[in-house]
Amino acid sequence: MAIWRRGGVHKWRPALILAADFWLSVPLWLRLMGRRLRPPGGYVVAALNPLSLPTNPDRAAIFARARSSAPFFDPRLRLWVVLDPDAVTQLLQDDRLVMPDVDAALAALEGRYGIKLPHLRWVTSQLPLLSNGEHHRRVRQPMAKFLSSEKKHAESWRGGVADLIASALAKPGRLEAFRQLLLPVVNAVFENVTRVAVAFEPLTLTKIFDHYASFKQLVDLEGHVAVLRAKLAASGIPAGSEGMLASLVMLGRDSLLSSISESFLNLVTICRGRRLDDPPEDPPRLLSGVAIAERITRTPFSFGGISFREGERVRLYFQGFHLLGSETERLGAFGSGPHSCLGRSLALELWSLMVAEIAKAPRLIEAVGFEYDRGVIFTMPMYIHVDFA
Amino acid sequence: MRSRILSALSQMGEIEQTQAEELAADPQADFELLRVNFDSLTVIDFCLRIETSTGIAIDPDEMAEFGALNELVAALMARSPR
Repeated sequence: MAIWRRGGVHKWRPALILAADFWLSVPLWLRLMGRRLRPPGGYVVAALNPLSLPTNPDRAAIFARARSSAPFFDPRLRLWVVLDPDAVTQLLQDDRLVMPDVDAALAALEGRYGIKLPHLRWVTSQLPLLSNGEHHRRVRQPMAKFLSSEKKHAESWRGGVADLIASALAKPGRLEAFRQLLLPVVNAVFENVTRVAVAFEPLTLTKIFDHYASFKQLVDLEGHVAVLRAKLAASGIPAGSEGMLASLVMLGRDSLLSSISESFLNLVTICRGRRLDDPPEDPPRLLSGVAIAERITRTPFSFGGISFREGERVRLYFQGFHLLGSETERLGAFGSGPHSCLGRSLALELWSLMVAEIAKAPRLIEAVGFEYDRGVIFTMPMYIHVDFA
Repeated sequence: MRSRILSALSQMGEIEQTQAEELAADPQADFELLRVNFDSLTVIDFCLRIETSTGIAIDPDEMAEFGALNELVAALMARSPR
């Protein structure tokens, strides 16, 4: 304004050009200094750590700032990071991105360590999430059908789960909600759905999804899958269902547990200082605990001003969906496209029951404490302490 | 080099401090890195710690190639500036 009052911009033109040059060159200087910048669409400096982002306490603000941002490349992880929900949705439905070839990766690991991993190779071949093309359709369809029919039979677990919730919330003193409430609830649902009791620790089986699987993890995992197969074989399930149920246990339990835990943590945080039987007007929503998905580019292509080369890893982040305006948009956190989450309906069913049962508890929340487990794909707490007045 | 690697593993809680001290004191003793419960988070954490303390960069993907502590020590020694 001051410039205009003094009689026009011309007098200041050289200074303005210099200033503009300086600011336009800032991204270049920052890049030269080794900092990573967001490509076209703004200048959000990507000094964030993509590994710890899912549990970063400031993640809501980070995802809000990253709205409409273009993917950026993280040189240390050697992958593309996609934070914007619209971009995530588009890329999930883009058939130029495929699931990583886990069988080839396992074969390479077998060769590297001189071991055989038959159970792991078997179970990964049964997981729709890790499959592509015709094989993907072949393993996904029966699971979708099975889960859909199980939804109709939800009455078989609703009563037991309601009792578990009521009894956990009636206990005096501090509640360790993860171990005393959420884990038993999810185990009860899974035991009902799969007909096998799974006593594995959370995140034990989903180690297979970690990009870096150590020798120890692989050997432990191979043993766990062998135990799971034996349990399924002994459970008298129909022939041909073993693979589907094993893959449900491998991935489904941790997915459900992480989503229910993340949603519960949100609920008790919102309700801090108030009674559970006096909940906020808007019932706390179901949040997805699946923080990321990874894909591989099968062909070179351009997207959002970015040129992807063939064979590059692309990491898609889901937590940006939690900030969106409508319920439909927010459900995008459960994925879309051919690999969308098959357990979403089950999770919604369980969460609505939990919200209803929790709202019956006459307890005043005084304090909430929690810590996340280390993990890449899921946001899974190690504990959630709820102190009641 | 050896003590820095062991110190990093100990700080990360991957091995006990007493075990780290014993291994650091005996250059002949070896330790199976294959037994360390690394995942993609911890392996990067480890590589960053090594880079910070020694100035030698190591790629997380390379870590799987080192079965034992002495192999990693030898590889890092070979990369250190003379």
